[in-house]
This record gives sequence, C-alpha cells and structure tokens, in this order.
Amino acid sequence: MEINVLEKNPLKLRLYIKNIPLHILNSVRRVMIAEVPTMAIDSVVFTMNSSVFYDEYIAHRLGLIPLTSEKALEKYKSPEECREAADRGLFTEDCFVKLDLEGKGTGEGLVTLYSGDLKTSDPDVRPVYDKIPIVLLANNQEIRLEAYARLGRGKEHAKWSPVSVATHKYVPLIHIREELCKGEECRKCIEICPKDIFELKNGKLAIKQDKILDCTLCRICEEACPYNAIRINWKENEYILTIESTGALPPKKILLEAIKILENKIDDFIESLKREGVVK
Amino acid sequence: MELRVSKQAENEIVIEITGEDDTLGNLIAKEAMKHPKVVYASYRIPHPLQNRLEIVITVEKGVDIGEVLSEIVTNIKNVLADFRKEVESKI
Ligand code: SF4
Ligand code: SF4
Repeated sequence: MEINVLEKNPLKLRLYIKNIPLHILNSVRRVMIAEVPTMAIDSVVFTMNSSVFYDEYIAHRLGLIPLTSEKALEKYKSPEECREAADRGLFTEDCFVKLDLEGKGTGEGLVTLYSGDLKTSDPDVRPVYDKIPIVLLANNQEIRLEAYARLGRGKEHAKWSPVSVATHKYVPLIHIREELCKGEECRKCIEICPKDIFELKNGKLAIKQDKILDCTLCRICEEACPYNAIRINWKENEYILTIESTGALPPKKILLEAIKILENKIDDFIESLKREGVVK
Repeated sequence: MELRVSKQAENEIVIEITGEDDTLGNLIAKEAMKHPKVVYASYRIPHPLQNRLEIVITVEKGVDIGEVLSEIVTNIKNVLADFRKEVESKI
C-alpha cells in the first residue's frame, strides 16, 4: 500500500491511495461517518425561555454545534454507556459535559446569543466555532438553560458524525486514440468537459496532467466525440479518499480512530464465532 | 457482538448479527470471495427497519469453514495494519 497526500489542512485531507481493496477502504469510510465518536449536546434543561423559538428548536440547534472532542475520547465513557445513563436520567461527570447558556434582550435592538456564549464545565470540550448564532432576543426576552453533551456516534444522529464529507473516488484513465482524433478541427470535447481537462498542444489534443484527478468519469466527452476517439476508464485498486472534518476531530485522528474501531469490530466478530464454536 | 449461527451445514454457514450493517457485511463477504477455498459469499440486510445482518458463506467440500473465516479476518487485519502504518508515517 502506498499513500500520497494531495491536500492537507486542519479540516481537510485528500489522499491518493494505491493498492488497497475497495471493500476495505469503503468500510473505513463508512466507519468514519457513522461510528467514530464525537461530543455533541444531547439533553437540554430549560429554566427560562421567553424567546420566539420553542425549547425543542433551540435544543436541536445546540445539538448541531460541533464541539472539540479529541481529549474527550479518552476522558469520557463510551457512547453506549452514556446513552444508557441519559435514559435513566443520570447526568454523571464521567459521561457528560455541562454547557450553560444565559442571555437577556435589552432595550437597544436585538441581542444574539452565539455558540461562543456557552460556558463549558470542561475546557477540552467547547464549541469549535464561536460565531454560530443560536437565538435572537428582543427586549425582555430571556434564555436560561443547561445543556449536556456526551459522546455519541453518527449512526445514532448525524450531529455526532465527525465528518461532513467522507468520499472515495476512482482514479481516471483517459485514453485518446490519436489516429482518430481530429484535434483542432473538432474541439468538441475541449468545450464540453465540465472539468476543463483537455487542451490543444501543437494542434493536437492533450490532457492537462495537473487536472486529470478532477475528472468525474462523467463520460460526456466520450459521448460528444463524433469519431469515437476517447475512452474513459479507471485504475484498479487506486482511489482518492477525501475527508472533511466538522472541526470536532482532526482528519488524521478520524482516520486512525476509524481503523481502530474496524479492527475491534473484526476481533469482536471472530471472538463471537469462537464462542459459537465455529472457529476453534 | 450479538451473533448467532442460524444454519451450519457441512460446507455452508449462515451467520446472523444484530446491530451491524453493510460496514461489516460487505467487508466480510467481499473478502471471503477473494479466498481461494470459498465458492460463494454474500450478505443481506433482511429488513430495512430491523438492525439485522445476514452473512452466507459456502466453501469447497471438505474444507473447515472456521479455518477459512479466521484466514479471511487475518487478511483484513493485515491490510488495516498496513493502512495504519501508512497513515501514521505519511500524514
Ligand atoms: S469524463 Fe467528464 S470530466 Fe472526465 S474528461 Fe470526460 S468530460 Fe471531462
Ligand atoms: S471530440 Fe473527439 S475528435 Fe474531437 S477533439 Fe475531442 S477526441 Fe478529438
């Protein structure tokens, strides 16, 4: 296996991966979306809400605010244990982080409460962005609430998913049959390609090598060519993996956690088969 | 894992798992198809509203299914270990 980093910043990762079976890459991708845990607000206790929004509406908005979760993964109990605790109404410290929100509208215009106004009981778990608006308050409208965040998984609710994007795509192979291509006289594929992959070089059709990975394999060029001179194909066992984080976890951590979870899942599978006596 | 063997014949096994989905099903079934002693492997999710997964594997006559299954799992784990090493060293 070989990985080349195409793009890397604190929120995004794009990797060119060679020699990996698709089904394994796909399972890793699915685990990233649905099973890597993060922190998110799950229960809200309102002591005062005279704003124009219903309690449920505000609670939902709070749930969708990404919270920093890297340290929380080690500090707090697993999603399954904490879910049970919440069901029994036990908001214990080994599961829950408390975030307080308070605000009152004044005479001068509207007051906006932002994610940054949430006061957290654990500095390791705080909103990733401070400028997400939660609610607007007019004169004398008031909000007082306690929100409880816990670890959870994307399969339970998308608010716990650490990624906004996790995709893999094929690596394109574009083949031009030069003896059939009319080049300058025709230009049809150059004009029609939505990703602007083709160009003319010395009167001949050429592929912009730095853009080839942008090709979506849409095959519009194939269809547009009157002379059947283009074939679009893809490489076997080579993929481009794109991860965009919500900010709750760094992309590398998401990937490593996903691999770990998948490994545990498979161990669990084989252990269960041993218990059933299928595997000795 | 809530796992149950719902059918086991000489060279065929049906494994039923509650609480798992395509992530595990597709992984095991596709990897099994790559195994030289596996004749047929597939998975299905019998009902979309039930959190249930069924994996079917048929092997050649006279082959121990248990052995094949642990080889499949080892193969997947090797790839994952490789993947982790690459991620840790390259990113
Ligand atoms: S398949 Fe689509 S994106 Fe790729 S080169 Fe052809 S027209 Fe462009
Ligand atoms: S459409 Fe076909 S013939 Fe025309 S330039 Fe493209 S490849 Fe050549």
